[in-house]
Parts: sequence; C-alpha cells; structure tokens
Amino acid sequence: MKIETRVGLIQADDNRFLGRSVCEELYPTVTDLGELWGRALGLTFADPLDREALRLCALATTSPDARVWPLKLSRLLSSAGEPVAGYIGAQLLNSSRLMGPGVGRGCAEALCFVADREEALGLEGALLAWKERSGGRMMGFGVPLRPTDERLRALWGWVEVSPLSARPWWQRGLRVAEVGRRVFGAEPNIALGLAALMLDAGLPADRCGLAIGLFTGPAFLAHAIEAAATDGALRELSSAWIDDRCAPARARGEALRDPSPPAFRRAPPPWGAGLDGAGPGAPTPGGGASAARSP
Amino acid sequence: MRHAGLFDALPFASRLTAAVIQPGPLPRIFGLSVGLDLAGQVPFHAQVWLSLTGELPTPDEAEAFSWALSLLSALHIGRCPTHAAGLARLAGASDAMLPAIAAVGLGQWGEAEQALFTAVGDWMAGRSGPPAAAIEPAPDAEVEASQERLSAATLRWFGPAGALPARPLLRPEAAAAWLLLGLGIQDAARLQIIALWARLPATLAEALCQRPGAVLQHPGRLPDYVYVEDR
Repeated sequence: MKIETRVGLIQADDNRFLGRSVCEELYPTVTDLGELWGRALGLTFADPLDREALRLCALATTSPDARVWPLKLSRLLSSAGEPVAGYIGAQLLNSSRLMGPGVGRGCAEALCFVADREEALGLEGALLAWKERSGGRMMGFGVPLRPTDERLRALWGWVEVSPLSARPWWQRGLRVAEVGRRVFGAEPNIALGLAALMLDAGLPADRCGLAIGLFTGPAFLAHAIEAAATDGALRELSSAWIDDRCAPARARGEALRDPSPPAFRRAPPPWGAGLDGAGPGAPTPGGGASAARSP
Repeated sequence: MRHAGLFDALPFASRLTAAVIQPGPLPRIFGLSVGLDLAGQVPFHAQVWLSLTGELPTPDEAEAFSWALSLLSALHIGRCPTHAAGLARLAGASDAMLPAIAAVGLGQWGEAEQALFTAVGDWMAGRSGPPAAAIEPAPDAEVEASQERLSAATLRWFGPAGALPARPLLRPEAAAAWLLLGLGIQDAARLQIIALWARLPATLAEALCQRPGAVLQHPGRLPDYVYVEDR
C-alpha cells in the first residue's frame, strides 16, 4: 500500500519539509517559528505580508486568562504535574464549535458564504442568509462582558497602519462588521478580524480554526507549565466545593424519586414504544424503573 | 502586584455541581452506594448501565446490554484505534498516556460509526432496508451461528417487533447497534461512550503486547509513504 506524502523526508545529509531543504533553503530564509507553523498550515509566504498577518493574529489572540474555559482545562489536566497532559489534552477542545478555533473556522466560512452571495442578495441579505443557515448564530459577532472586543479594536488599529488593510478580505470584513453590527444588533468580535486576515493570507476557510489553535497555543503551554507546578490542590477538591444535587440514597430495587436528567433518559425503540408491552423495548418514562431489577 | 480583569466581575457559580456521583466515604451513583448496593451485588456492566440511564437494568436489559458490549469490544490491530495504541506503546507512551491516546482513536472511530448506527435505526424503524455498511462482507458459519443466537435472544427481549432478522448476516457493530437502539440508547453521546468503554480493554491489551522501543517490529512501510514534491 503506497500513500504519497508532501510533508517531509529525512535524508542522510539534510531534511526536507514541504518541498524545501531544511538546511539549504529554510535555514537562510525562515526568520521565526511562526513561519514553519504557517507553512504547515499551507501558507507559502509568497507575499512577505503574510508573515505580518500571522504575527498580528497571534498577538490579537493572546488572551490567556486562567478562567477562559479551555485554558482552565489545560491547568486541570496538568495539575498532576505533567504539562504535556494539559497542553495537548486541553487542545482537543479545538474541535469545538462553541468557542475558540471552531468559531474562527465558522466565521471564515461565513465570510466566504457572504462573498458568494453578496452580488445576488446584497451584503445585508447575504448576512441574513448565513444567519438563517447557521441556526441564528452569526459567528464573528457578539462580545460578552464588555461593550466592544478589545482584541478586535487592537487588530483594527494595527492593520489600519499596515498594507494589510488594502487586502480584499480585510476590506470585506470591515464592511461585514459595519453592516452586521446594524443587522444583528451585536458588536463584531476578534474572530471576524482573524478570519479576514487568514483568508487574505491564502488559508482555506476550513483551516482557519486550526490556525487559531496555533495562535492560542502559547497560552495553553504557559498555563500547563505553571499549573503542573502550582495547581496540585485541584486534583481533589473537598465536598465543601461541591453542590450536591445527586439522587438521594435509595435501596436497590427502589426507583429514582425524580426522573433522571434528560441526558440519561431512554428513547422509545425504533420500532415503536411498547409494541409488545414488555421487555427493554418498552422503557418507562424518565428512564424509570420497571418491576424487575438486577439483584 | 495583583491585577483585576474582566472575569473578576463575572457572576460565576461558586461550587461545582454533582449530579450523578454523590461524594462521600462511600460514593453513591444515582443514589446507590458503590460499597453496599453495587460492589458484589450487580455485575459491573449493570453499574455502567445505571451510570448511563439512572436505573439498574432489568435482567433482560442487562443481558442485552452485555451482549452489545461484547459485540463492540474487539477492534483488531488493523483498525486504526488499536493500531494507534500499539504504535504509541511501541514509541514509549507512558502508562498514564497510553489509555488517553487509545481513547482519542476510539473516539474518532466511534464518531465515524454513528452513520452506521443511524442507518441501522432507520432500518429498525422501517424507513429503509438493511444498510450495506451493516452487512458482514465475508460471513462464515460462526457469523451465522452468532446471529442465530442473537435473533432468538432479541425475540425474547424485544418481542416479535424488535427481533433481529436472521438475514442478512450483520457485522458485529451493526448487531450491537440493533441492541443498543432497541434498549432506548439512541443519542450519539451515550452510544459513543458505550462503544469506547467496551473497546478500551482489548485495545489496550493489544497495545501492551508491543515492546516499547522495538521500533523495527512495527511495519514502517505499512503504508509505504512516498515523499513527493510538486516542483
């Protein structure tokens, strides 16, 4: 079984990475770690401005508050003393569509969707079409806790004085921000700026989430390292820190007094509930007990 | 110097919420003591059922659930999660990380498998015929005998409406899907938990047979990666 790879090769006198010699081509030209990460994402850096785009994205996403949920996860997983567990384990959350990288990807996809339909629907119509398609959620809008997103304000300021501001997706992002603010009644957030910069740099929309995962990596790493040394107390919290809403003590054979939470309930069998009125194909409402239980 | 931030003003809950496992010297799961009501009193798979549904299973439910777990449990070394776990062990994964690595692979496997579960559900509901992905491509006498046993058991558990047909002969995971869906576990979250839990022991057992550092024992050319450049 053969599979072609374009990623890399170890040779006796050199290594090759994404079509280039590490010693002969990358060593004299790569000026920072970000460029290797950018190449891994698929950027070619044909335009030197792409390096600046990555740099600004990384700075704008440096929001490393320990109470940001994925970062707290990094600390929890590191609290036994192994930072690798927190640094890598917590980043499995990067596949979430709820926060972080998933939002960036969704926002990039939204920008592409809007671009494809703006001519036919107008910008406002295209935005509304995306909102409808995404179930009412417009990624790139909404700023909790403060009136506007300080990260986006900073990014706008940085880009405004840079040639990056002339790039097409950035310009579109500014227009989307302006119209979206009115249409959605919500302020734009950092995801909008990041998505525009990354699309301008040539990243496909479906890699923008991975890119944001890369940009936020330093915060995960720093928290993981610190927590491995300091957060041992989190390994076991006393019951004083726990609000006990569990089912009260009961005897085996005695049903729950309250229905189990919805996530634990059972559905009727696919062939229809209680056709024969017995057996496990006819679960009682709320996952409740039937007469005969295991001993 | 201490700095204040936006999160300082958030009205966070002050405590964690326990909903399933009641803390204590002898914890309780959905109200049943692990030391008095569960240990030595019910098979462990019945306790797992309790954790996932809030109630202990009836004898029929316990038997059907156990049957489903067995059918799901064995992903051979050629299947990605077990291959990955073995590779991780060979490459020196720590004892602490090996189960985590295997779980990542099993989670991905379980997610991809949801399409099969959905298709089996459609078949059970009469919305479609047996899905091609559910049918065992190379059935033998053991597969036939296994399905014969299971058909008879499902008739006993579920009645005629929920009895597994004798044909076509199904892959084990499709037969497991029939059982779990019939038992009323139909959401992806619990189906994936069950599949992962069922598979983890055998997957890790296979991994433990790899000797850390014995890198040449791994078929490095399976697949045979060929590095190419486009320029």
